[in-house]
Amino acid sequence: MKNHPRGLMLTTALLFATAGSAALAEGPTYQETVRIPVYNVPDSDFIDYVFGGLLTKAGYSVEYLKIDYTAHFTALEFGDVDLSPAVWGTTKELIDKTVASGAVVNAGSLGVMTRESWWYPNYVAELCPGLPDWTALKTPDCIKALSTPTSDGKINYLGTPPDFAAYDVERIEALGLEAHITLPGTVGTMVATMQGAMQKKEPIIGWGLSPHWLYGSGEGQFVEFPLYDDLCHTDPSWGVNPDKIWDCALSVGEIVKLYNVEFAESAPDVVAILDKFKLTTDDMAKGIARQDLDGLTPERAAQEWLDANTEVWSKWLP
Amino acid sequence: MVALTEAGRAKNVSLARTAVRARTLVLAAIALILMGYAARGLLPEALYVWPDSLRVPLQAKANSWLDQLLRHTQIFDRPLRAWTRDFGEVLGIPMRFIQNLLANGWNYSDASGNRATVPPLPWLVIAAVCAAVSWLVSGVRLALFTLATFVYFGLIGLWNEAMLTLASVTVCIALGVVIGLVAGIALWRWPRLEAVLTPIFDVMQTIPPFSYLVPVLILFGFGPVSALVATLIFALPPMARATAYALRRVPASILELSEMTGANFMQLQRKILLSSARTDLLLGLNQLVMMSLAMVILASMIGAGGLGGEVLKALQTLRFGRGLEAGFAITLMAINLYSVGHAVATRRPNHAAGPENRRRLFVAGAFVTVCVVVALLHPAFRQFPEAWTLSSSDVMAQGVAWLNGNLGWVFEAFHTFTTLWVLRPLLAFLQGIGWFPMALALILLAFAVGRPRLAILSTLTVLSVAAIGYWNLSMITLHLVIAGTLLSLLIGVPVGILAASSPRVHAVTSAIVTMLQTLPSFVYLIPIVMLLGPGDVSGMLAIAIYAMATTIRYVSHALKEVDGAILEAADIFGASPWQTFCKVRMPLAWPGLVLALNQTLMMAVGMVVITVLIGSRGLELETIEAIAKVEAGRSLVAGLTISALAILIDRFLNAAATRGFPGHPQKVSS
Repeated sequence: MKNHPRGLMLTTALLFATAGSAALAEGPTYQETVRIPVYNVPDSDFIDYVFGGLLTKAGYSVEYLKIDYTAHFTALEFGDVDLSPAVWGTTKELIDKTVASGAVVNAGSLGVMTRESWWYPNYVAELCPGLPDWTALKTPDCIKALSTPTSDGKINYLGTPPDFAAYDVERIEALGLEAHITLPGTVGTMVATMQGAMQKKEPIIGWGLSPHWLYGSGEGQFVEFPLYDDLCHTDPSWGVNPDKIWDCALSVGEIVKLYNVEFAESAPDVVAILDKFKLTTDDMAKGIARQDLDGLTPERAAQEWLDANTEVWSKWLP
Repeated sequence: MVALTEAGRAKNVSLARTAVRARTLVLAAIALILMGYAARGLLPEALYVWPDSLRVPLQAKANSWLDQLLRHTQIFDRPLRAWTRDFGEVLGIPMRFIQNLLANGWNYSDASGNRATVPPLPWLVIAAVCAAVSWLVSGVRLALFTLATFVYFGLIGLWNEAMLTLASVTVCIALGVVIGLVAGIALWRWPRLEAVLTPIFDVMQTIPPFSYLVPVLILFGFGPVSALVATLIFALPPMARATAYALRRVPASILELSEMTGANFMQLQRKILLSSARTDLLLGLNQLVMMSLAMVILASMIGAGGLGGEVLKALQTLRFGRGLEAGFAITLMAINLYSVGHAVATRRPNHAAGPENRRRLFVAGAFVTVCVVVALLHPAFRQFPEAWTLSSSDVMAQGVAWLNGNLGWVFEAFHTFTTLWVLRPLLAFLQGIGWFPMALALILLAFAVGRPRLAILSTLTVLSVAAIGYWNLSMITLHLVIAGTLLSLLIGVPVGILAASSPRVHAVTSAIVTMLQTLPSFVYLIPIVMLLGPGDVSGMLAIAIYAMATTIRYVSHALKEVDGAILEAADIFGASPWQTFCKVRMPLAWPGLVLALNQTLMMAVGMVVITVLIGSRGLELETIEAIAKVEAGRSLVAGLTISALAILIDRFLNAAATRGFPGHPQKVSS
């Protein structure tokens, strides 16, 4: 009876002894594993894997943590994630609150401007000629032309996944728009639903973000809302509606890089690389398209970029 | 004799009166709801929508309380989270060890920068050990099944993910069994604890996991320990409840036996109580395994990784085939874990088979040793070679796309019809009732089911939901739950009736039911959203599919439990099959049928939370949206509101189940 477990332990020990031949190597200064979040979203994941790949090339060991985008701010604040190279500037509240905690520092822009707002395919402009100006959406003709059987006589509007903090409900109310919101649940569904509607040339307006292979292409345009102002989401009296906040677009943001303060103290070299890390809008659009259209994993898409741009990233490494 | 019949008659008359009164009260409640709906505009609007000026700002309060508790509370000069994280470290030791052993290996580095790695166990060895264990506890069939499962993990290229999930789920189940048994024994020994623990368990089971992800994340950090805690919150109550239930059913004579034989405390618990309550405990174990694996996907959002992350990713990128592969891996793991647990728990001690046992152990040991040697000889048996994995070309997604292209109009017609003629009117009706008429109607219903205390609970719930401004959102959530439940009943009840009447149908449905129950619900969200688009219709369908397994199982169980002799008697008295069904079978199965409705509704509430990922809008959206707007407290309040609604529904239906068939004077005890 007692033979069995001991036998098992012995064989296990044997395995360790043989297979675990110590792989010794000269490494960089920071010996721990750098923990980078990924969210299963093509845009951010591309950046995260490019940066992770970069660190790997510099000799660091990297771990990618699968986490919810909104939850990752908490993780960053408490040092459960070390750094985050792909934070959308449009999620301003989350960034502000995290930085205000004092445990996280904003390392500045990645060099990619992002835009998030309502977006429409080109044929929709024919249905509602006043676009892209948002006031066109208030004319009865436009509302009628942009409605569908299930949109309740209102504009058929495809909203955002729940963790986007797009403030659509507030915006629709503040600007007095008549829009029926359908929520997509995930980014994948949001893009697929927009594509499906475009194939059938259905009247639709939906949330869009750029850089992106669909929303950034010439196949459509963003609606022009009143420009964002810091007062817009705090002071009701600001803007077209004197009684409500959010009578404006989201801020046109940049993709920013965040890191945890305690991590920076122990790994200044990694943060130095993060400081220099830049991408272009085209890099990103291509990275997303390779995943969405060609079915690559974000790791592969990132690897492609690293292979093609050696002279760009080699300058960032010490 | 005369006196007896007199008393019996009096009792019958009074029972009949109660039944009549109950029916009147139910009708009055329905009338009240209809009147409330019709009288909108005549009555003050404040009775329908709680006035903003009187709103209780509980959400904002909860935000600051939670912030204070999680970020600023100090205990002995250390923040609260430092303590919880230390505790988490301890919890994490066995988990990390198993994870490293199975999947990650160990990485060491010393001060001078030298690194050493110890690889994880070879896949062949892990598979062999698990198969050997299966063989030892059960037999060849389970061993082959286990082996096939592990090879499947490798073939679909998810070996590492599967091992991470296996590690975390094993630890979770082990902890869940221990804590569940302790809690269950405590509940049994001190019945007064029930008053405290029952509501806590109810909340734990019904609160949407999204609403406590952030607090758990802060307290336990990002990673498998957080995932473990979140999973235990969800999966623990059934085990504890099953334990208490099982122990209560142990006959008193067995306890007396233990006294006579002089068993000490531990012996009493372990050898006597737990072994005689075995079957019921197994039900708890089954639930624990199922629930732990159901949480695998949500747990991947806070760092569990593994197969759950893979399914979530498939949903987020709409890769149905991948989702199905990973989901099926979870199903196989669930069946394996449960079968092994079942075999261990039902094994009878066999005193005569000492040498036989030794022989079996020797064979198993030899088998494992051979596999170890093979793994040492060739690297392909250590790390599963990529060349052996099957590439998933996503035939499934192409199939769905084909359906969309060729039958798209059918789905669109279904979508439009359901939206315009089912969901919208239902929602308009629910929102039209208003909180005040609803509160009154619930009071009447509470008296109808004979539980005046329920009247207090329901009034308090309705008042607080309305006062914190969640009434409308609750109705949005509820309309989806009701529509999904109705659809589930529409299909599930006839199937359940069929399954109860024919063993052949039963065999078929039972296989489908098991499949539906163990396949992660996220997997079938993918084709639903691809075919019907995001929104409430998809949500309703997802809820119905998820809840249907429960409906079928409980309905067929309830009908089969009816005493065959009574049915035969009805037959002899010349009742037609239809009469037997309506007048005898249904009334006798009434408690079971209400239980079926109750369980279906609970499943629907559980699922409605997930439908937020395909675009539903009620309180379930609030739980996630609040996190995105940095309001963890609001998220928790929204979650608790869903929980409160679920508990209220459960209490009413439980009371209805013990009341007996409407219109029939006999009282059926549960």
